[in-house]
Amino acid sequence: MRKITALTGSMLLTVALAACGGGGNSSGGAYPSPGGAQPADTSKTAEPSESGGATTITVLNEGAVSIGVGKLDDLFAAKEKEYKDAGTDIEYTPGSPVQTFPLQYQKIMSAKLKEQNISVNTEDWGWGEPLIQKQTAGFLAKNIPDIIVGETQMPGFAQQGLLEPFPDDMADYVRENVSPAAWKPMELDGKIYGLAAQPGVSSLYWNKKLVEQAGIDPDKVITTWQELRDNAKAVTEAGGGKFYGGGVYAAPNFGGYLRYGALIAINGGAFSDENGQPAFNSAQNAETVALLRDLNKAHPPGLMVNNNEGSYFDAWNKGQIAYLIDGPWRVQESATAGLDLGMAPIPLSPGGKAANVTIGAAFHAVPKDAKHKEAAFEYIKVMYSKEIQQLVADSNTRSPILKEIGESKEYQDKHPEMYLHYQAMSGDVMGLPTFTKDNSKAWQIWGDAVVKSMMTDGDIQTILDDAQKRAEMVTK
Amino acid sequence: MSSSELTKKIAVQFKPKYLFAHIVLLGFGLLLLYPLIFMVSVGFFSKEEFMTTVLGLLPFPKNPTWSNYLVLFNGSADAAIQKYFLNSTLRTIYSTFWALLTALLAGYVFARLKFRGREQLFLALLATQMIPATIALIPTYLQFARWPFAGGNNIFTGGTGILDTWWVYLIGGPSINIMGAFLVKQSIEKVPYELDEAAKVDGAGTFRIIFQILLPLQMPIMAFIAITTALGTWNDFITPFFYTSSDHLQTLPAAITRLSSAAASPGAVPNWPLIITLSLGTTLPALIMFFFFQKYIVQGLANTGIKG
Repeated sequence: MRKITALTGSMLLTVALAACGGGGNSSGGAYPSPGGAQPADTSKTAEPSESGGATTITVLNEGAVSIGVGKLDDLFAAKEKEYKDAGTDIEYTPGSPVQTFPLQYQKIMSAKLKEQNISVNTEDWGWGEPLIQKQTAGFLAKNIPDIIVGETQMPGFAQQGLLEPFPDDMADYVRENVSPAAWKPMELDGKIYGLAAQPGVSSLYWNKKLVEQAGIDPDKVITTWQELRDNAKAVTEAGGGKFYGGGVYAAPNFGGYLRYGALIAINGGAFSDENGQPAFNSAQNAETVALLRDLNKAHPPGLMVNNNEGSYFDAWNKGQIAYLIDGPWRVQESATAGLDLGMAPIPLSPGGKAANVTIGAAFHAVPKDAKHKEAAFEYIKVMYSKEIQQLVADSNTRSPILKEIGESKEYQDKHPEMYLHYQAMSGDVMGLPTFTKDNSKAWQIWGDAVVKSMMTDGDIQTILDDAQKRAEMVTK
Repeated sequence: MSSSELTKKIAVQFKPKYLFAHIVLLGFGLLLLYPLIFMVSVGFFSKEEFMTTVLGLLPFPKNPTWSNYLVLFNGSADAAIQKYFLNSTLRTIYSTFWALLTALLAGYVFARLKFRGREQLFLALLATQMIPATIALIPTYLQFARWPFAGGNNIFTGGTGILDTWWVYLIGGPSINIMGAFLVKQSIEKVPYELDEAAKVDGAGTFRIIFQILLPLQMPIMAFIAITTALGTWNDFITPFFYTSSDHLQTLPAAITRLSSAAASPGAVPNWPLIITLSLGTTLPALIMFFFFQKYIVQGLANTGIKG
């Protein structure tokens, strides 16, 4: 009797679970199964026959353009109401300022994709470490959206063969018409694996008020590392503990590496060689770390290496540090914070040449296991369409990636500061490398070595030599 | 107690050595309360004012706004707070119920029943507590994704298993509460076995002995298990965040995690006042629960003979 009860119970449970995903549950069956069983939820299925002939793709959310999760078309009304309730003008005319960037972005995406009978369902998998973990699990389980998004982890996914390369004609178009910062870090063995619609590169920003208080001409653009050192020191002395010279965020995390990575590149250094092996202890890297050590003295104690980057940028917004190397969003954010801002290309080291690292680039890519690859590539095409790129230009927070818009006379006249940023995007731009083995451990070794160099008086070359040895042990 | 006695007792408290102790304790109390006061105050800041103000010890906005508290109670276009709140509550109740049931039954089995391999099995169960939860994240994800015949799976593959469904909470959330079972076992072992025998003589079956004889004696430890499980489930963001994606399955902590991770995405300006206000909304129910039931935690642990 007991055996029969147990058997019946097991069968009931199995049937219930099968029902949950196969049809009964509204969210269980995201993708059609190869076995032929189609989930009943038409909102998440993609077969043309199941959604009035439309293909529905699943796209991961990116914070800068997110308006919520779910079917994109269903999200507009609530978001519009929220903007209206807050007194924000929701009208947008291309070529004029936009106050509701995420809403307009998604409306354009939706409208352009509808022309091709594609609709979008968004999911939010977070950002940073939680996102990477969930994506890793998703790849293992072959349960991955049609478009994934991410920053520093994306080149690594491409290296592991988890992403689908752009079709050749699409890649050719991108190479010819799109700024390198948008795709260069996602290029591997001649193939492009991802694209960012509004990437950033770093520039130098300064708080004119603080600089002036140190007796420095606030309109004079500094061009050398030595000037940056001297000015940061002068502002710190003038601040008397109330404000500091600042310089660049340099914590042992990707927020730090992405920002001072530009200085490493300018000085001809690198984090790794072309084989993905660490190249920590070059003379160029040691010189850059020496600059970081000097700049650290122009910060409140511990701020420059604080793992919480929010604290660092809080200090900038609150007028406590004068110089900052950061991405283009700083222009708009500083305006909101009421700061009188100066902006220029990052100063060069002696003998150095202009170079940069992409920052704040949300690379979109199509996984190998995506169920609707063709539709997913159409999504990426809309990202670099004229309409979306005009909107990016009008936002004045980032620069467009489409050369046709970024290099136009109209853009240069209307957005002179962001045009500087556009030019930086078009130069020698790279992404952070992925080490061949134990990537995160290798980065941690580098980050710790830089922090040690900055916080102690030890010989920088010796510290980097030691880091190189330890990194080689984990990557080889 | 007469009023003169009471006055005397109060007067004693004003003697220098007691007064000093009270001041020190009050100081520590305020120190512990400070984060909450800070959170309440920051809730009245707008995103812009918070961004540009150098905060003092007790931040007060120049232009206070109710907008963050309105989102906490009414939700916004991006966050259906009431739905998250309801999900958190239901999940907490369900998990707590199962934790109590499994802890009581497993505790009884290991304390009273004699069978071959009992000690080894119990040690094996305890050993599972040594595995850090983070290590289990990806295997659990795969387990849910490969759930037979679920979510369009053709036996094990082809679909999404039970990922992103309520089954994540129904099956994945409440596993056997090992720590609870250990505590109940310790506690039941202190109860004389003669009590069980007397009940058996009176005709009680196993379940009657468990629920009518032993359970009333285990109330402090059961309360302890209930409180710790409820607090743990209420604050858990990993399960909803990692194993579900749909908005209708999210809980309050997961929604906050989403907001703060969106704030960490490229160039996004974090709305810290809103994030802090929502965190306050998550913290308060847990705090109230702890405030009212804290004596059971001490009592429950004392009953098991475990000392901190």
